This record gives sequence, structure tokens and C-alpha cells, in this order.
Amino acid sequence: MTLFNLFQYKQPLYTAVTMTGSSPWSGTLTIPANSIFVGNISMTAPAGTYSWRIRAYRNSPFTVYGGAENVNYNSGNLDIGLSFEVTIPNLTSSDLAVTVYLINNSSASTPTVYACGLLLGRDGGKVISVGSDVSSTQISTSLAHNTLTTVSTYSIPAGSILVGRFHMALAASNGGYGGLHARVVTGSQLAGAGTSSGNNVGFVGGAPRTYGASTSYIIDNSAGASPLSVSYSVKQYSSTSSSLSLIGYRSQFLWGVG
Amino acid sequence: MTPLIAKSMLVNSVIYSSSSLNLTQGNSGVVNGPQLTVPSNTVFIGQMFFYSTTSLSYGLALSLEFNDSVYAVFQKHGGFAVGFRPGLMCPLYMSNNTGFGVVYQTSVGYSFAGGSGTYSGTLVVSGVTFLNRLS
Repeated sequence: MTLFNLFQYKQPLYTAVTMTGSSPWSGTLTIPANSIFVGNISMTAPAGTYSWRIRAYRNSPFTVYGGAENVNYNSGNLDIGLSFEVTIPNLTSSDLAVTVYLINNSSASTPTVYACGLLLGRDGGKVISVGSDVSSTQISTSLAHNTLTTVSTYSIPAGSILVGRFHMALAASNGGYGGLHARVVTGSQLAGAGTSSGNNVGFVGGAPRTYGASTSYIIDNSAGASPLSVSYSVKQYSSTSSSLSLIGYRSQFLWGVG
Repeated sequence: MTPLIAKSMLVNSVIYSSSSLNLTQGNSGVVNGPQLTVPSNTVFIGQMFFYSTTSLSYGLALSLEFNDSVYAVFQKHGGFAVGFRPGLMCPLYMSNNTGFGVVYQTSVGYSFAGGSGTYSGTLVVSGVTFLNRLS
């Protein structure tokens, strides 16, 4: 939080990190000179793959900024999603090339990777100050099997930055194996994604409240002239049920630009 | 929700609270942690996190919960990861626009795959409150 007092806001960073070829993939995220990127690096990939690992790093000096991994037990059925929060400083006079590295065990179709967050800088721009409204929305839904379904939407007012976390979980015990996939999208941009799957603890006869998928996000509409729409979507796969009752929670707040 | 633009940012107070919790292996349940009081007309921005103080000898699923039925975050640790010390964290954003303080209960939900005995950990809530509706 102190960070936003000391540095100046520059611009949003919604960047598709282009991945080419087959696993392992790599792409480049460029952090402009005299900037700090604060936000998410997120990926999604369609069902049909097993385990994934993603990380962001630079070579010289070797620095790992963050990463995430997931073993998808329902590889033929459940979309994959990974997010990790990063703070990448580049207080030099040259642009910084950050490598986003992504690997899975089956060289499936090319994944989608986005960096979504804020660029803060040492010069120019406006000071970000804390807005004062926080929303907490509980979401209950019965979700169709194996279909990505939007369970909630939100409109970010012009001049605001949305910071929050979205999570969905089973509302009742469920036998068998399965999983949940949750994602947050604004326009065509992926702001955050998560997947959790398994076939033992927490899913078969376990406490339902311990099973779910979540992600965080930072979405900037501070320079926008009109509201920016955000959608919150979930996909479930269960080996024993064609539909599941889910309960979730969206907790977020707005930042204003003073 | 209307965006309320603040022209200055004032820190009202810093909150830090923790509780030591015991989870019974072989069972599932919910154990309460510290309470969070959000003062009148403030915004709380912080986090809660749970970390283990003993090694795990059986598969364990954990969740962090906020105000009982409201789920704050979910994270699963499966498998019989002997010696593993799982933990989890989630951010919390709370606004209190009332004229009185609001108390929230934090807790940990858990489900063990088996075993017996006690698995221990600590649930911590920390963060900063900002004065609300600054102008």
C-alpha cells in the first residue's frame, strides 16, 4: 500500500503475452523504463492437458518474479487456469524484458497468457488515492456440467481501478472426482484465472467448503471515458453429477484517481 | 457501488491479530480464529493467512473463511504429503459505512484424509484501515 503513495500512476497494462510453438512456450513481457508493474500474470488453456507450470523471470541478473503450477486430474474435461500476482520493478532508463515461461506435459493447444494490472512510474501521471467503497457479493448458483458459465458481472465506473478476488466452491459434498475453473475477463482481456481439481481430499466425502477455485485481479478503467464491463465465469466438471450447486464470493474495492 | 474519490489517504489504524488453532486429524470441521473489528466509517484493506506450526502427516484440505458462511478463499492440499506444512492466504476488503464498529469472525475449514492427533497452526489477520469518504 505504501507503494502507491510513493510512486505515480502511469497507465494500465493489459498485454497479451504471445506464446508460439509447442511446450515449453516462452513469451516476452516488456516493462517500460522507470516503471513498476503491479498485477497478475494469468493463463488459460482448454481441456485436454494435464499439468502446468508458469513462471516469470529475467536472465541477467537471474530473477524470478513469481510463478504457479497446477496438476489437472481431469485433463480431458476441465479448462486450466493459473494466475500469480507480481510486482516487477524497472527503475532503470531502459525497458525490461521479462520472460514468461510455460510448460505442460502434453504440448497441447497454445495457451492464452495475459499480464493485467497497473504501471506505476516515478514521473508523470497522477497520484493514485484510495477510493472508499468496497463491495462484497455472495454468489450462489447451480452450474451446468462442463460449460463455462458467467455467474456474475460488474461495471467499473470511468475513472476507477478495480482490485479484488473472486472465488467459487462446492456448496455440498460430492463423490467422485472433478474440479472447478474460475476466470475473470474484461472485454477480451484475461484478468485472472484459477483451476482446482482432484480425486481425494476435499472432494470425495470431504468438507465441501474446502474445495474451490479462486483468482485475484487488478483492472484499470481510470483513463476510460465510459464504464468497463467485467465478467466472472466458472466451469465445473464432476464424474458423478451433471450439475453442481456452487457458492462463491466476490470481494473487491475501487480506487479512484485524484 | 459509486466510486468515491479520495484526495488524500489517511491511515486510521493498523490491525494485527492472531489465534493459535488446533485441527483434529481424521476429521473435518471449522475452527474459529481472531475477530476483526472494522471501525465506524472506515475501509479495511488487508489479508488473512493461515500457517502450520506442525508438519502434515496426512492429506489435508484447508479453507479460509470469513463471517461463517462467507467464503474468503479456497485452497486444497491433497495427497499424503508427509512433512509438508501447508498454508494459505487471501486478501480482505471490507467497508463499514455505519456509525458503529462491525465485528467479523475469521475461521479455518478443514478436512483430513485420515490420521489421528492434533495438527496445529496460526490464523493471522493483518491490514490497514482508511478513513472513509474523504474529500
